[in-house]
Amino acid sequence: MRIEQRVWRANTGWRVAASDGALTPALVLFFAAPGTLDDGKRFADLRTIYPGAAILGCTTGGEIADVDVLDDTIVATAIEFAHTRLAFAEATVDGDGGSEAAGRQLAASLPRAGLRGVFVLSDGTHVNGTDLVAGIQKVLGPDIAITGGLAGDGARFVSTRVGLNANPVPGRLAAAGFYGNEICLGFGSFGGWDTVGPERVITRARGTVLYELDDQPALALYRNYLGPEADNLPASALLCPLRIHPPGKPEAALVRTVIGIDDAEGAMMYAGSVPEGYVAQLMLGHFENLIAGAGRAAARAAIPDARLAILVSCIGRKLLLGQQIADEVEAVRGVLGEACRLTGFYSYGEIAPLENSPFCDLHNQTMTITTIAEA
Amino acid sequence: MHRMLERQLIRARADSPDGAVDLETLLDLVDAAYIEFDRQRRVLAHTHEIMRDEYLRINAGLSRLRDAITQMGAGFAIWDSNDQLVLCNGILREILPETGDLLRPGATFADCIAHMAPHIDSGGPARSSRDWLDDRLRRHRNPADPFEITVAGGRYIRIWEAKTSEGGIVGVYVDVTESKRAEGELRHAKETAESANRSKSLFLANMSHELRTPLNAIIGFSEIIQGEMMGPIGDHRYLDYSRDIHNAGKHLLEIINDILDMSKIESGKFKLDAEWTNLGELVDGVLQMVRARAREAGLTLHAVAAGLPSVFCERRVLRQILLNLIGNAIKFTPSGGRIDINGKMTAEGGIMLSVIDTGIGMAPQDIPLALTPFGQVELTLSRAHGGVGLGLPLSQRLAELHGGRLHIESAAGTGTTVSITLPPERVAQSALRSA
Repeated sequence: MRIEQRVWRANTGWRVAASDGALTPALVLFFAAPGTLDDGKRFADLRTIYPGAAILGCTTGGEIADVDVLDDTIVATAIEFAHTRLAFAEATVDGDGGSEAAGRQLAASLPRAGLRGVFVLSDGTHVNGTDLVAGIQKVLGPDIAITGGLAGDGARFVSTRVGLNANPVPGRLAAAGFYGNEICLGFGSFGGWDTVGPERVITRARGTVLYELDDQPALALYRNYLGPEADNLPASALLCPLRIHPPGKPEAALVRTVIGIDDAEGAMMYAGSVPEGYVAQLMLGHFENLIAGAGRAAARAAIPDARLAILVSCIGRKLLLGQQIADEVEAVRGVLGEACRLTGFYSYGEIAPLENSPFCDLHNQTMTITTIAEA
Repeated sequence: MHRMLERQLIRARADSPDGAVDLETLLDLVDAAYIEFDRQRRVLAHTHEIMRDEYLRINAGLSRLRDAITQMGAGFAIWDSNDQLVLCNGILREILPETGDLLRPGATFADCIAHMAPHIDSGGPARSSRDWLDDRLRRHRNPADPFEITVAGGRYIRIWEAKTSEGGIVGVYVDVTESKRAEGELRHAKETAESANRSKSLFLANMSHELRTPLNAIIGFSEIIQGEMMGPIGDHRYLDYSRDIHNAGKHLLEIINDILDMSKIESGKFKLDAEWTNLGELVDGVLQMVRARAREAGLTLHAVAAGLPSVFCERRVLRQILLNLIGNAIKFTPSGGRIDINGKMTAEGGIMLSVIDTGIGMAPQDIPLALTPFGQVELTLSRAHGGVGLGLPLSQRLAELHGGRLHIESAAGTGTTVSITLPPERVAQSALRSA
């Protein structure tokens, strides 16, 4: 397994950041700042540089290359496998209602024989990530690990793009399937946010839209929590993730992140479902705990001889940590070591298996890591 | 060098076409970092305020809850998922002094009830204290309906337990000894009353027989004497006396019958034997029976019987009601007065029969008393006019048995109107039915 990493900047064009020498990649993963793909030239560049490779990528809220977190760049990672076979699939999603069907359609396009794992990229603003993952899992079953994330649009939440062998477009999902006995995949996902304040009950919600907590408008509660940052809603709501769990089952807790607000209804819109009757608690971030959380995700994802780690981290972490966001990538490097190359992006939702469960789900506000090695 | 500044240098170099660090670019990066730090400081300051507000909110809620638990007037306890006491209130310790000072946070439920077991009435000699303990633990772990335990000395504790979401148990414990005792007394009082009522019914049934038998002899033989069936009586005063005996006997029989009817109605044993009855004929029959009495009393009697519909009633009972009402009117109207009997349809389709007199009347506040059995308005009246005050209440109950009502309007000195109303379903609405 050999890797080459290139970074594109407006001032410098494409530059090789790291390379294992001349290679024939089967897959090029690229993560691009919003706006950099608009003219289609950067995708054409990649097609020219890696003519035989499948090219899979999306827009982001920040790009990860080596130990730094970049803005306004494109990070492309070309991977040559010694033994592993790949297959690819894509589908279109048109709004929340079709997310599960789109997930099923995507998964059905992947041959089942020898499939070991799937890495998925999805549109980040027009999808119910929970339903999407459920749809994929329904077809593939619990034995196949699914990881990936929802594309980003900086902190704007307007339009996100995903593409497979084409310049990325909105409303698209795409996946790479890894096949064969030689591929080793590791996963780890961890948040590190702290719950604060009382538990509240979700008293009115529909799908991914939350109207009321304890019979009070959800938006008003967020405004109070955000204080001076309330003017930057919905992006600033990422500073206060929402932890939800079924009544009486705190161990089944999930964290949800806001992707939009409805001022007229006083409602909040999330990247995943927020079921009525669930117990909810707002969270706040503590820098050291978030950075340590990234380290814990890496520890869970660690596998022997991992050559590549794909980091899908939440835009909310970047929004809070700001200039110190690279600290969490350094924490991952500290665990996985120098031999493991890092790439990834800041997303609107992370996909990974649940802890202590064969089932996958949408996570929010986490650092989610997929590690890859070949035996 | 601080790692952040180091990163800025790397970024500035990476962004430069020739790899040299441009001071402007670096300054821009550092400036952005400082602006970012200010923002983070504001966020953190606000976070601190939110945490303080939420702490106060939670604390206020906690105080309210603690206060409620202390003041709630019943024993209260929460046990955690390990069955250890999280908290309880003082009342629990008061109603279960047998637990000694065990009821402290951290105490296990098993220890607490083991301490209580010797003081528990385990529910019969066959049940050991071990059985009670097992049963109590089972109920505690699978809480269902409330139940009671009996503590030695005859104290009853009612226990309500339920599972909490964390897998523990919340319990409410109420000392119901006092209400148990009151409940016992009530039950005893009820049994006594029922037994007394049974005795009364038996007594009345017996009396009915015992009183009527001699009365029948008195009425029958006085009638024979009056009729001089076995030959003429010498002195006419004997005839007068025998008539008095006869009248007095019949009056007494009526009173006894009224009392028996009243007691039958009150014990719910009065069964109506209803049939379609021509109301006009029934009123005519009653008028014939009372006309002579009215004349003797110097009263004029008017009635409009024609055109009255058929009604579904027990003929004897309706006749008795009318006789009672007209009898009262005659009794309480001075000579020279007038009695009217009217019948008219109500708006709902029922029938209302009214007996209107120009008699002494009564004050409106006395009407309820007149409707109370044996409640004849004034003792002086009863002396002056005879009767035991059963006529009106009995008529009212008999009308009600027909689904009807009895209504009195009266003013002292100007007369009384007593009306009975029968509901539409008892009144023939068509010629076919009334035929």
